[in-house]
Amino acid sequence: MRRVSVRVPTPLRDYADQRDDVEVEGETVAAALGALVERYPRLRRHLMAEDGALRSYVNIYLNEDDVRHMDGPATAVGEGDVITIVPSIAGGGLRTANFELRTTNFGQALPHAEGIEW
Amino acid sequence: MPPSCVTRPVMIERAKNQDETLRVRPAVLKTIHAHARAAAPSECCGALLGDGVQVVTAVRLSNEAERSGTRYRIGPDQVRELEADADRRGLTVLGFYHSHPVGPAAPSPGDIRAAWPWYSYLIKGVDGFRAYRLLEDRTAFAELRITPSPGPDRMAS
Repeated sequence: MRRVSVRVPTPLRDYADQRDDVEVEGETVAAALGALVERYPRLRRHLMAEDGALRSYVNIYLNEDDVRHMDGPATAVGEGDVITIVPSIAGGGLRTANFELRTTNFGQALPHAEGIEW
Repeated sequence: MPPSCVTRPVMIERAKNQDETLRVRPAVLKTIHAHARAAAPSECCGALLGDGVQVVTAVRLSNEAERSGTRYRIGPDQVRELEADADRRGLTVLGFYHSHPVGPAAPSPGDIRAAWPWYSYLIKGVDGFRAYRLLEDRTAFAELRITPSPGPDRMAS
């Protein structure tokens, strides 16, 4: 087993005892990430889909390289390697007729002029 | 039915903790407003950098989405560069903003699927600004109260 360091991004540190760096063991990127979520189970839903595959917005770098350009999660790791979890930020999407917005206590938007000197 | 056709309601709850606010300098909102106007009819996007207590500046980022009129995307290379830039300036990435050029400042199904916890998401819609944070169980957004705080946009000053 090889020891690697996993860099946890800021939005997920609440689920990893506030640690930004976690040392785990594994032979591949997938095994290392598996060890990470085994130690910190609350990370799982933010990193992985129900089938265990990485979510679309989760990017994994091994040292300086995106593993998508290598062997993906099956990429072999070396002793002392650094795995970095990098979020993609995305959203939007066309609102269709069946789009439903359910809300409780939905407040007013902050108007452009309120408290702002334009 | 393909997943994209399934109705996915977006749940929004008032943040349980009344202290759940997004403190942001009005000058920063003005910067974002200008960015949204310049980018229309495309969605604009960027990052909210803060000193731990409040958002002190907004950083414009490039919208990498192919259908930029209804979507936005900030890829990992931009995020890595942003994090490094924030570190150099002693600031923290507190969240991200984007615009809805023809819609309200309400999150879409795509917004919640892609969202990360902890970050604040500020949306500039035709009706103004609203801010949200994803709940840990990923089922809903909590709406944050936007509190203007005094001071200039650090970038613009």
